[in-house]
Amino acid sequence: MTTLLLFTSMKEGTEHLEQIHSYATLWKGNKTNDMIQFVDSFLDPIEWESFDPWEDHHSLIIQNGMTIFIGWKVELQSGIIIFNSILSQETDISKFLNWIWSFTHTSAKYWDELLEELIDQEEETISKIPIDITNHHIQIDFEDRGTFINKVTQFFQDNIFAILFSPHVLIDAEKMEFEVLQEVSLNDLEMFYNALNSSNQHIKHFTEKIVFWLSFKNYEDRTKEIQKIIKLVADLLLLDSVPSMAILAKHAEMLSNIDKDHFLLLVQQSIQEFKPDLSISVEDLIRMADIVYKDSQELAFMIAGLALEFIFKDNSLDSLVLMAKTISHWNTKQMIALVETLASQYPSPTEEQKEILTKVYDELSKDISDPEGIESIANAYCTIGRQKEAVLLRLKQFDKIEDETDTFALVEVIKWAIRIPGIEDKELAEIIAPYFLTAMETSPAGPYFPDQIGEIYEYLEKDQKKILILAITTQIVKNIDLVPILEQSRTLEIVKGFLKNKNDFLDLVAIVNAKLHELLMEEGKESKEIVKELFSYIETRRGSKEIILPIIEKMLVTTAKFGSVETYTRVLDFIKTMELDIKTRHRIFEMMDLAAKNAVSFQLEETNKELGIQIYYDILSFAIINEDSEILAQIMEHAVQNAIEIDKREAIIDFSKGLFTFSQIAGIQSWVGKMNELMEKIVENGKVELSKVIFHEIIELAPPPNDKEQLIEKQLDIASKIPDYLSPDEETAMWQNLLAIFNLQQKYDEILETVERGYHAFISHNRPIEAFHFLIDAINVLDRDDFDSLEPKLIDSYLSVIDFFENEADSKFVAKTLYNLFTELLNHVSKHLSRLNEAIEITISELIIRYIKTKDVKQLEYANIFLTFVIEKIPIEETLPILIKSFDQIIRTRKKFDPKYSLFNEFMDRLRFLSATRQRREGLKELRKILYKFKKAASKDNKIKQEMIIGIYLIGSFYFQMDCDFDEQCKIEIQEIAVNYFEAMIGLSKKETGFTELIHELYEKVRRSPSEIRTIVFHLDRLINSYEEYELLLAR
Amino acid sequence: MRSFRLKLRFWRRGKPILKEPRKKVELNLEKAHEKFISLSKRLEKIMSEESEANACESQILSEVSFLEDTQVYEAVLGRVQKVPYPLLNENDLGVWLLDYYTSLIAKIEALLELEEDI
Repeated sequence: MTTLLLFTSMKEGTEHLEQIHSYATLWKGNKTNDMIQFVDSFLDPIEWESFDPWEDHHSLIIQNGMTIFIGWKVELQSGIIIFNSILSQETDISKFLNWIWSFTHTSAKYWDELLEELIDQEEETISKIPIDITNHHIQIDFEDRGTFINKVTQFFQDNIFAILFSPHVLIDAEKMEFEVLQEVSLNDLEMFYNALNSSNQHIKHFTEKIVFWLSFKNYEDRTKEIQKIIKLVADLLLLDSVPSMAILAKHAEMLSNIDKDHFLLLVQQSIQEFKPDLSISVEDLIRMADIVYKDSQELAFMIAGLALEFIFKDNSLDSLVLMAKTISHWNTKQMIALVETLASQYPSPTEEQKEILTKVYDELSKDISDPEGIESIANAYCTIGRQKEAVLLRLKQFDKIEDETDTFALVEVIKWAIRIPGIEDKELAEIIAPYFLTAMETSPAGPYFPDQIGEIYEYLEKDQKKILILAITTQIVKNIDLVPILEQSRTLEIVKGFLKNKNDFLDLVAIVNAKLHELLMEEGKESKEIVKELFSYIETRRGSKEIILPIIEKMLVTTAKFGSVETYTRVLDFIKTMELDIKTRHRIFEMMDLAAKNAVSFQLEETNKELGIQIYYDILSFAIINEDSEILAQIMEHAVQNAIEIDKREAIIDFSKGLFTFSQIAGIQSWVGKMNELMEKIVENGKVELSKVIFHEIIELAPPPNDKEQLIEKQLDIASKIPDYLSPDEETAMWQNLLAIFNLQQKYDEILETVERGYHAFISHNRPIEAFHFLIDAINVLDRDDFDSLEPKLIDSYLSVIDFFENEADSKFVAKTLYNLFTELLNHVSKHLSRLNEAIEITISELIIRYIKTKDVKQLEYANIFLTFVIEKIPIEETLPILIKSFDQIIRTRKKFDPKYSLFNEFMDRLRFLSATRQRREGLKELRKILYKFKKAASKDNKIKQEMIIGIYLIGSFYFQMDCDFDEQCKIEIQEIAVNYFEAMIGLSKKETGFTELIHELYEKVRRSPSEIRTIVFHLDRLINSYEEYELLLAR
Repeated sequence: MRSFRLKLRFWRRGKPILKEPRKKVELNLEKAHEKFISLSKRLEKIMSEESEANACESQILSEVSFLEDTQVYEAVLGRVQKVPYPLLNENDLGVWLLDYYTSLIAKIEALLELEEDI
């Protein structure tokens, strides 16, 4: 079959053609998928980089059973691809070559002309011209179409191997030229030629098939096969009419790959007409058998049988291993046959034979799963003294058990195993142990397992296998819970039945009894007989502590677990009568610890759970503190856990203290970590209060500072997770304690870090007051230099308190708290005065806002007090502007919201403020203002009004409050004011009365000396008393 | 704008003169004085217990002593008791002193609230 593809990059007139990538294509002849795929990848500019459309291209390649010519002419921008079957008829070859000739010699100017030429080409008939190959470089020149067709046809038919082993074949208008790989000699090429032209049809057939097979490999892979192919063809040429078994076996794999059917045919033929041949390799035969096995098992068995014959004949036992390896993945029947053959062949094997046979059986047993095969190999193992391997092989199939029938089979194998001679009991016990467990676990409910146990013990007893009895009994007792529940006690009773009254097994009976005791207790009944037997046993073996301690442990745990207080007490009494060295005592403590844990974990009733607590108190009752403190510390940790479990408050506290005390005595550092874990557990159980109680109890016991620190840290950690775990006071105390610890140890970095953490904790818990106090505490333990950095923080926390009080309704409480904090603030802040001013201003604003909200005048009085307090504490020059601003705000607010706020009271407030801030000049201005108002009102009414008497009080009061006695300028100015005031009064006194006389008198006094102003207020009562007369006189 | 000014003047002109019943002033004055004296003593006690004098307390107590020394209380009370008319106007010495006492009482109370450990 020959197929032509014309392709062009021309666009004109090609629109209707099939487009592949950027080419228009036209097929002539049948196209296969291989061809389409080839064209697609060849024309793909990414896939086929070697094709350059701007250069002529003429090459021949072999691929997928096809000879392919690719040609491209730049001037035509067109090319062809011709496909021809590699082993085709001469006519096809002729057609293929004619197209190549036409293309290489075309005179067409356009692609469609080329097409016409190719379709209408004349075909040259073939007459072969032989070619001698004398060099690896091959060049065939063409004079005309005839020589081209004839020479190349000849070459294709006879020397196709040369092309197969050439990297690149060029065919252009004048010549065909290529280089044969050096690995292929000229003799090899001649040999290939001979094979292709052999009169032996098998040789010719296989050689052609080799060509075809190679054509499907890419060039790289093809070259890898060169040596094999050369040897194969060389051997093939040795074939005569009856195929040689030796050659077939040697090349079985390749021949099978090249043409399996023909190969099988030849194998069959060679067996049928088998001739002994010394060159036959047994290994080749075995390999061939394996190759043939997939297609013809019968043929494979025959070859294997043949191989076996050779092995026995030559005594080449090593090949048996290969045989076993090969047959191991054939069917079981063949394996059994091989095993039986070997057994009969070697009834009494020598050691050397045993070794080989062991390897053979090992190979056979590697992947075997068929029980019959396994049994056969296991028996074979036994015949060569490999009982261990036999047992392992048979048991291996039960690594996974899927149903009850597997269990039955497993039990049978175990029974078989314990009966075969030649394997040590100890070794056997180890091997069967995991499988015995499996059998226990997968046994069905009902009498099956106890019955089987009975049978097993009968064998063991009969064969006196004490070690196995010991191992199996121990295993049964230990794992009895794997047996169906209803069969557990029955199984143990059967075991006990076999062991009882035999002196060798007294200890084993006790072990069984202890377990039986537990099982019966679990069922709710305590067997007095078993208890009696157990006590009798431990009494008898009292001297052998190591032996009876496990029994005592079991008894303790069982009685605690199931609440048998009476038996527990008897065991405890027995223990007390024992001679206990430290080691034994500690062991017993551990047992009791375990018993207590069981009591707490298994008991359903609370009262019985308390036994779990009682046991710990029992431990403490016979502990010797100095010797046992270390183990007691460990046990107390469990004791606390158990007490938490059943919520025994007193016990939790006692055991916690125990944990601390014993750890201290034993010098165990890790106690505090454990204690903290327990604390956390207690809190998780919702016993928040208890956690704190334990903390305080332990703190009372004065733990070392580092431990105390960790305990406090834990409390703070819990507090960070549980809101309100600690009250504000408690939390403060915790942080203070931490500070105190670090202060004691002079760890200043830790102090500062603690201050930082504590402050943030309080702020994040919305406890700014505590944050503030905490900072004050910190400052008090630090040197002055260290707490400078805390000043801004202190102010921040004070401001946070103000924010915090935003919604607090109790204004008195707010003011008092702020006052206290403010006092502390002023005592501790010395450098950040601008921030302090901010705090002052915000405080006063807060009080003013509260006044506006409540109209409670005390809020403003508080504000005045705050201001006076600041004046006293802070250098006045630093704060005066803020003080004046705040004071003015107070007065403005009062005037705005309080209609009863009198002129007098305003003046008095101003006087107090100005006096405190030493502003005499301002004070005098205020005094003049108010007196002017009094005088003006009096002038209007043209009489001395009562309020003018108040004016005299104001003058006196001013003199007194402003300490004018010590300021001459003040004296001069107040004298002037007083004189003016009295002159105004005199001016208004129209009638002579005692009142006006007194005015005159006072006038004279102040005129004489400013110091007299100090005394004028002591005449106010007289002025008031005499005013009535003045008033009455005016009324007339 | 013009009418608004007129209205404003009207209101200014209409401000009433406050008057207090004489008897009420008399009784309140007695009570206020009594309270004033009692609070002053409390303040004095606190001050005596303090190691360092508080400026605010000193200031108020000085003012209290000054006022008491003037003996205006007896004089004003006597005057109020003798007044023949039932109402006292807002500029009366009795009303003034009562107002003064009230203001001082508020101050002392505020101070006591801040200083006392209650």
